[in-house]
Amino acid sequence: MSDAARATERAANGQDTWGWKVAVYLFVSGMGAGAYATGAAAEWLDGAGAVTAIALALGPLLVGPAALFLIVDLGRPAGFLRAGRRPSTSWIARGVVILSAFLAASVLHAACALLDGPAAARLALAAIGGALAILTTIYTGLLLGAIRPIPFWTTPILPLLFAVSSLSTGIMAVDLVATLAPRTSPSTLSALRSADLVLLASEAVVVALYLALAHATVAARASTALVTRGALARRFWGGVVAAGLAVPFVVQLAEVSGALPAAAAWTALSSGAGLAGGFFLRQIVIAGGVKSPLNAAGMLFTLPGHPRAWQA
Amino acid sequence: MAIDLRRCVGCYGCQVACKAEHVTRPGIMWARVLKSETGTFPNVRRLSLPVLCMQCREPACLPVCPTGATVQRPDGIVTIDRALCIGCRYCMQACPYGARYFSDGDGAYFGATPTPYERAGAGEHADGVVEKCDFCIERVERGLEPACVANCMTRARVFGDLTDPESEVSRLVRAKGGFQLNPEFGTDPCVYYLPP
Repeated sequence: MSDAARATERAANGQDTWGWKVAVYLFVSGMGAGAYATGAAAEWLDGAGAVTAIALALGPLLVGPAALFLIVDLGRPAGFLRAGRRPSTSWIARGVVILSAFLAASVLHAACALLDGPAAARLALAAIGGALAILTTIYTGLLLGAIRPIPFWTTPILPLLFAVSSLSTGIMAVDLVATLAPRTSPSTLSALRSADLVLLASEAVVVALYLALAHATVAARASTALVTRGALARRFWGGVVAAGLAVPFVVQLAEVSGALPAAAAWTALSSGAGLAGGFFLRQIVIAGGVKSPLNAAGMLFTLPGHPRAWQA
Repeated sequence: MAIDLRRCVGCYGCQVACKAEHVTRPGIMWARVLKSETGTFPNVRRLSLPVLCMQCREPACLPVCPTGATVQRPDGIVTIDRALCIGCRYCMQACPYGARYFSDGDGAYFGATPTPYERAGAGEHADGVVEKCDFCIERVERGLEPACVANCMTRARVFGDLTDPESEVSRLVRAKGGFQLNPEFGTDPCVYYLPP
């Protein structure tokens, strides 16, 4: 690596065009879509029950408010409906379509579940809503992936990472609410935790792959350096790895194996830490995105951010 | 447009001329000069790189715009329709050249009250939308050069018609080996740089 590339890598900062509101949206909408997908799967595998109803209701209850974060992040929030005008080319416009369809299907399904609708209709809605929920978790990775100058985002691993983390945080949200709610069966909760153990282990692998297989470019290396040993390192190691992956894995394993007595406090710990980790994961991805430097005659030029970063 | 990096002395004249022409708000620079240094004393190299909107033939900002606010005119200039822009800033992320700026509204150069000069130029700007260089359409349509070109004291910038192979800008790009910035992004810019 040339001196210029090394110096550029050190000087690089994450993009400041999108801030914490986008990270909150990614986290909460992923959690909601993941919770709903859990409910849709439970509908097929386990039938109607208190846990299924909670999971289905969490979908629109979380994804709807999450979308508000995107709207208030706009420079012109009142014009948000215009964001759906170009779905043929823009992932933001496609996102509007996907979110609207998901919200419509999940509200219908949740209503159907709460009012004890016919089983066939519920299974059909679960299939449609479940597919839209998965799409909701994935499209954000594709949206970021369309931003070619930020190589930290242009990897097929990112949509996978968002999907796995969304399912896992969705299950943890369901686990938390269901544990606190009356009339939930311990065997269903145990099944949820077993599924989440698999997801957490997969997520650890995907996170490692995401960082290890980052593009071999100056900006991508600057991003991984920022995340693993730079300004975002504490949020990554403490927030994502320790709180988001290790704590819920250990606690849930102990709960499932019976090493821990069933207690709401343990679930609060594992879900609370895991959900915090889900937010930190979105934050390091967003804040860790470094724009490629300009290259003129072998000299590299770092693009400075806006002096007054858009964080308000 | 062609920018001769050998002639450019990095005086920031283009950046200031652009501000004077368009009365852009604090922190917003449709044209700006980047600097880069490399090496260790005494073997050092320093280069100034004037940047602006490259008016790409394949603009990365265009397809990502969810509202259709960004448009490419028949003459190739890329413009933003302020009435349609919702300030999502996706285009700013997609532009490899950092040419787009978000106008978040608050900002006069001297305290809270804009100067008469800022008030006179306020019509070109709006709150909560993205803005950028448009090759000084208002000047070009009157037969003038863009402000940054007219103001360049070393005549490092040449403005003309790249579709005409006999224009000065086309001949310079051909003769001096003009190159585009970061061609790997597939944007095919209409701003060429002549090597330093």
